[in-house]
Amino acid sequence: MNSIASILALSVDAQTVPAVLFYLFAGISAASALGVVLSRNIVRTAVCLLFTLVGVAGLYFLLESEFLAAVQLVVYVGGTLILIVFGVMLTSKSPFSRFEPKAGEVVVAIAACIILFAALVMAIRSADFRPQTLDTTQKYPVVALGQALLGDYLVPFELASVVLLVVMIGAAYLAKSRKRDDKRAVARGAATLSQKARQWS
Amino acid sequence: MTVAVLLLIATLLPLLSFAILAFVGKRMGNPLAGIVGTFFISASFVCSLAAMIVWLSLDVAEGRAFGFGGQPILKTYDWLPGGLQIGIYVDSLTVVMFSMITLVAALVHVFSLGYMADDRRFPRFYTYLGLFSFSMLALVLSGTLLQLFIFWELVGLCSYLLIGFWYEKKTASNAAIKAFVTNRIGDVGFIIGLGLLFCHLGNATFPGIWGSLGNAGMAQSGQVLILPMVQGSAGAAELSGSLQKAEPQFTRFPHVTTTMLTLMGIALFCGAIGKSAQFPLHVWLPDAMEGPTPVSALIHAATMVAAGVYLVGRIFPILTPDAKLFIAIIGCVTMTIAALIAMAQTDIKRVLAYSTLSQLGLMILAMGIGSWVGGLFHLITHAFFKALLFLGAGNVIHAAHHEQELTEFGGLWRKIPYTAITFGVAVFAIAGVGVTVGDTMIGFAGYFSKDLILHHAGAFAWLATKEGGHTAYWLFFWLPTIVAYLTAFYMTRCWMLTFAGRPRNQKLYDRARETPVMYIPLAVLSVLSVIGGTALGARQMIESAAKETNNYFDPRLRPPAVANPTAKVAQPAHFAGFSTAWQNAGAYAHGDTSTIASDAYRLGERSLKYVSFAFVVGIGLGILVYSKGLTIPNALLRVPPLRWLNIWLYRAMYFDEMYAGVVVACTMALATVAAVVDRYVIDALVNLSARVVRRGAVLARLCDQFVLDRAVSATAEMVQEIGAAARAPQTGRIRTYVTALMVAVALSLAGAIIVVLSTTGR
Amino acid sequence: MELTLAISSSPIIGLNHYLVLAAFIFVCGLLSMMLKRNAIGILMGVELILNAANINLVAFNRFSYAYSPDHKPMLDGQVFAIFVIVLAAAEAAVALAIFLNYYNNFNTIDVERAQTLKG
Repeated sequence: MNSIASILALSVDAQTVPAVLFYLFAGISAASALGVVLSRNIVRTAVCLLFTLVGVAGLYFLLESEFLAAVQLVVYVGGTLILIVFGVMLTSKSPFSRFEPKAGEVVVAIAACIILFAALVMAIRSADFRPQTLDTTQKYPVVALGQALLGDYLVPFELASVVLLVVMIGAAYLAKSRKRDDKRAVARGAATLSQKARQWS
Repeated sequence: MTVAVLLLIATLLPLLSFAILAFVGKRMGNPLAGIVGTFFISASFVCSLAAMIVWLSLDVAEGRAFGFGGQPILKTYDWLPGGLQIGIYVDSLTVVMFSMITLVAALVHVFSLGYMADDRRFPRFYTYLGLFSFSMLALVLSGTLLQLFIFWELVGLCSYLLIGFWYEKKTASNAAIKAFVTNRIGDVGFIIGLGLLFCHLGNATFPGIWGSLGNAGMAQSGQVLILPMVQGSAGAAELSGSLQKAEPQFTRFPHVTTTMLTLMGIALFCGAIGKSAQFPLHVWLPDAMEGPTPVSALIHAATMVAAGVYLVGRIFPILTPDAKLFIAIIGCVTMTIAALIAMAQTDIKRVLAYSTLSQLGLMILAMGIGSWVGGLFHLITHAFFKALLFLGAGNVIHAAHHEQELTEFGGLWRKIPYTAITFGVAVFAIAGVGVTVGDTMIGFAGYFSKDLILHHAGAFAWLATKEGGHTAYWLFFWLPTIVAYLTAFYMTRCWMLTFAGRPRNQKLYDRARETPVMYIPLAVLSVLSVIGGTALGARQMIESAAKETNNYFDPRLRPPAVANPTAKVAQPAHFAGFSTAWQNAGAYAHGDTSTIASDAYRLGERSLKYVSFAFVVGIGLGILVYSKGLTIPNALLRVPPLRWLNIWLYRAMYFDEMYAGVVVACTMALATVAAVVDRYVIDALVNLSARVVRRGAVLARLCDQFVLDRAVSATAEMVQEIGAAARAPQTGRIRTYVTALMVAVALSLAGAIIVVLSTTGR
Repeated sequence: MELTLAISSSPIIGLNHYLVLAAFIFVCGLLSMMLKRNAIGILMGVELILNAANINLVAFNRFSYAYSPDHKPMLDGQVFAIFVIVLAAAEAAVALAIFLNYYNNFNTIDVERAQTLKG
């Protein structure tokens, strides 16, 4: 952290660097999230989402959660987002086809979201979390995380692995294109195979 | 008891034959079915004959004179609890009837083997014959009046089936229906009589009825009789003893007036009017000749039509003098008009049919004037010679290939001599050929029975007028006498036209021939027609039966029943002698030696001289007139009055036309009245009610339309609108749902924050 | 206004900064769920919301170490975040499979058309 701070701004104090970095990542995230909402092109939306996710990964770094940041980058950016882009590619007749919401819907949605956001902010401000000053000496070693996952959280961990397996099978089944004459094709194939076997023998 | 068992077997054998032929007759085919039927009825005849021999030997064993027979047998069983009994009653009359019926039936069976040989429904014919034989025998064997009525109807059914045997012929099926319907009219009366009898006596056996009502025969008009208690078999002695302490067990009305008894007797006699074809209902019998000739011989001449006479014989003791007078008048009228009509008929079977009517009328007349023995004896002898006549006619018809008109015959004796001879014997028998030399009577069967009746009629008429009765009672003697002349004449005419003279139809004459199997029965019957009056003990047996039956009404054998002296009313003068005459006319023959009885007997004998030579005159005149075929009669018929008379008689006195006119006109008038009532009263009521209902329906419809339907529709619409309202947000669009959710969350959050802020006072 | 106030008043980045950012991202996710007619756009909105939640989890984990009983580092938030990431990946896979099917059947990716089961 200090090294990054020294590279970016040598003169600033220890508290300023994280603040600058926070605003940087937060700005990237927030702007990209807004871009996700506002962009009408699905491909551009995907790109904006990419930047949001990267910004969030940066915030994880600021929060001393390096492993999580790495997972965010690898899984989200490298996995999920690629998946989404593939989805876009597979389902879109033209990558620039767009569907516009109605104006009334837009107004209602924005009004509701403004109210919600205002309410959230007010709630956050009025809540007393008694935040401590950051203890920079506090580290979150990956070893401890691994111990926690295979210790206290073993059952959820294993359940998650089962969920992943189920999802893998389910997704593969769902995405499979169904053909009515599958069985007939199999039968035909078997017939040819047995014919060949007879020829050979 | 042996006799009863034999007779029961004889009854059941034809039923067995019927059952066998009904099921497998068709498979047996033409000759076999007939042979089976003939075998069974012959076995039945053998049984009957054996029963007769046993019966006659009984009195020898009991030390009495030959021919009296044993004691009557009565065997009853409770059919339903409460007095409904069935049973058998056997007396000498039953035994004689059995032999006669089975013999005639057997001979007709044999005859039909030849006569019906070419018929398609040959097995069915024998099936019907079997059923008829059974029914007739069971009728004679019946122990109660109800049972008799059941078999009475059954023989009626068989008659219907056999008249309409050739139902393809319209005339045959019409004749069958006519016979059936006409019989129904008579049976209505029979049922009414049965109902009256039931009402007073319950279902009593014949001896029971006689025992309780037997004193009716000597009752005066307007008397009230007190009925004794009726039990299974009430003998005379038992009856007189039980008279005083009579309990009305089966007797619901212990008092019965003679008027009621008269009505009952006449009502029961109505059945006989129908079955024996007496005067108002006689029209069915000539038409019944449409049936096969053997059937005419068996059913419509010898047995079934005689059942009416048998019925009168069985209810005889309960008939009051008034009822007997009615019966006598009916018999007399029938006898006379039938004999007249027979003179003019040209169809051979119709001549015989009217002859049958005439003879049945004579029997009924005999019963009416109290000649029980004469009537039933004539029934037996008549059965023989009338069956012979019909079978002979059947032979002629068969030989002539179903030609029945006398005008087409002529000279047939050369071609069918045996038939001619036997037919001639029958003519002699029905004409009553015979002479009395001293105390010995020599003659054909009809001579004896006719002699008996006419003798009785003479004595009756003399007695009835002697007591101050009306001179018209002499008609009961003179009319049978005239009819005896007529009978001899028209039967001779029939024979002469058929067999004598020259052939009038050469083609028919050339083809005529005889069949051996068909003249064997003729031979047997002609023998019986000759000896039936003296041999076989028929007369003696009937006399003994008369004694048994007369036990219940003969005043000299029983003290009179308690009569109500206060109810005695003055009798009309012309009626005065009737009941006395009735009581005493036959008394001498029954062994009464009092002065009045012997006087009556002698007077009756004296009056016989008027009729003794009726057959000579009748036959002689017949030969004279018809000696040259139709030449002389045709000459006679040119005289207008004779021609009109001939036409009138030929059309059977226009009875059919009269009935058609009167009955149909009455029916039409009644129908018109009914139609008017229907149209203007009932229709109006119906229309009125319909209109009321319509108005009500309109009102109901309005109510329905504007109240109920509205309510229902409103409910439905309300539900529909609520549903539509509830459905509207359910767009199926996920974004709408999300938006709605968010709006809701946002609004609630905002609300919550506002509340929090306002409470914290910021 | 509030946001700028919070930033200016305390130069030290605290928990509230993260929470406000997360709230903003959350609202953005919601908006894109509400307004996108493209099914994949909706999926992206969901991902945004999940990330907002993850930020919250990790931030609370970071700022609340002091409350652990033996001052050991608390990792609950991070573990949960990992699970959320895993499930988000799974969810994305299933959702994309469904969308592919949907596209095969309806020949479009517009969610407005997915109302066949509507009563």
